[in-house]
Amino acid sequence: MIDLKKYITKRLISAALVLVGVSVLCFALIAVSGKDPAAAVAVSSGHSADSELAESLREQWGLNKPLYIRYFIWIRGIFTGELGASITTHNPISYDLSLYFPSTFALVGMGLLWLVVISFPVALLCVKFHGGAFDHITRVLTIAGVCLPVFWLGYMLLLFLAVKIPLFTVVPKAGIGGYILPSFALAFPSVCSTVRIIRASVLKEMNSDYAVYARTRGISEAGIILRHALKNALPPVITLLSQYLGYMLAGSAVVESVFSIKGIGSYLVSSVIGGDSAACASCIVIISAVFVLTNLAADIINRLLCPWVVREIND
Amino acid sequence: MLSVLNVSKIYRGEKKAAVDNVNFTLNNGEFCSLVGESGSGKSTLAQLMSGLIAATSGEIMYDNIRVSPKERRTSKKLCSEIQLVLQNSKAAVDPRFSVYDTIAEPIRNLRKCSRTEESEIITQFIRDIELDETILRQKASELSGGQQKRVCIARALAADPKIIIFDEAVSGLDMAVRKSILDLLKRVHSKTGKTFLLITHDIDAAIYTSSRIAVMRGGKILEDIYYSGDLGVFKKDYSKRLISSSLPQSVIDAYGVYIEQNKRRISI
Repeated sequence: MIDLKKYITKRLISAALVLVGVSVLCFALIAVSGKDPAAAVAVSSGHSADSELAESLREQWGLNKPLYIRYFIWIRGIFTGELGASITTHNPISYDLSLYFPSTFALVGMGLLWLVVISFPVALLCVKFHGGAFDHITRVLTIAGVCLPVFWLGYMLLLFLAVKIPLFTVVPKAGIGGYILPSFALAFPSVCSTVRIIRASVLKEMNSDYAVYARTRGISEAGIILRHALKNALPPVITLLSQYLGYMLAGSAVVESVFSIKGIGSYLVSSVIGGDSAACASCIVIISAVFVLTNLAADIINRLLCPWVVREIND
Repeated sequence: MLSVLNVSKIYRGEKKAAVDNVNFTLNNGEFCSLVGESGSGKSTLAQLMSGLIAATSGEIMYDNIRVSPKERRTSKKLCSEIQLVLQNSKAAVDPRFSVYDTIAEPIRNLRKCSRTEESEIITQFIRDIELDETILRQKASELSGGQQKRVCIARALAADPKIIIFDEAVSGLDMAVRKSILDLLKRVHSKTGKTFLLITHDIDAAIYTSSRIAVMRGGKILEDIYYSGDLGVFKKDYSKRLISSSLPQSVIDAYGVYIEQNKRRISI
């Protein structure tokens, strides 16, 4: 138990260091971009870049202060929600984020659900019928699926399931039903590679001596998979799922554009196009934080599930 | 009685038979060893005899039951009465399971008894294999190699088998642990009267434990002798070479004395 506390403390410290590194990098990008948000807001409201309005905004947002003080103001803003104003939407960035984050959260959450609900049963059936027709067909389909571009898949789903067979609407309906197609398109490539990883990981366990011994006891293959192999095969899968959660969040922009969803991804893209470096950096910090925290959670879950794996690494 | 009748095994993609037309009978209550160098086919024969893999030709019979993977899936008798102890004890136990659950699994699968009886049986086995009862709550993966080997032996005994096949049961163990395991096997054999088949590449382990020794090479059984202390019963050159390549008796004896003197300091 003491070991676990020590481990979690160490991992939390390293996660915090990674986040500090990311925040420094993001802030540096804002600084070197040369964009002056005060001037941009002043120009967009019909004033000149060196007008009094621009000057007062610079004063208000602390843009006249030295770089390191601006960094600390920005960091404080992450915790207090005062991230400045977006030069593209003219809203406070924290307001924009609170507006767009729930849809992205629903999209990615549902994508993760697809990932778990499809990957595990398909992979376990591949293990059960290892070397058979189902396994071969799934291999071909999953390899093809990994290669599919998400935007193309999104358009195809819309074409066939919203236009030709109108099961869904082209512009997503409000509510969870509107996320079914977009989340499927978002998760599909990850589902395909997760099927391969779960299959390989469970098959490796099925060749372990404890599985061989279970066979000598007359336990069926399905029994060995469910009672022994699956649980021991989980660590790499949990790590992978945590990473895919981050990838889906980062990759949500494409799906949001295809399905006309206003989320963090599309907000990030419009910030990049509009040169809104403050909004852009805020989005990147949030996505990085999700990446770091999900990886941290995966490490801790793995440590709790399979402490011997960590012991073997230490040995 | 387990009979191997004209059995051959050729693995897919291989031309040479791993086991080549072998005839062999394991009699009730005997402690037999199957000896041979790596690749001689003894582990394949062990897997065939335990019904883990199917023979390419020939048949293996146990109490009028054909021993095969197909039969193993349906015959509880075959599963419980022929047990296999694998070489790599660390890999042979599910790392998530406690020692108690590891030994309890075959009891739950293959025997009908209440939880109280199960607990009594497990406690008895833990004593039989000379481990402390406190170990029962530990994860099997946390034990030393020697302790894991003992747990695997207890697990095999827990199924109440008639035959136990030990596949390279003492390979990879240091000398002290190796001797203690062989002594344990001898004691358990004389106490239970079960049939033991020791698969090993160490002829000295076979000589130390067994009353019958079969020597294998190239998938065939070269000779099958009853041993009672006279090494002269080995007639084949290959068997003699195996004997001459084993440790001198003086070294083995010296180890025995060393182990006796340092019993408390040696963790087994």
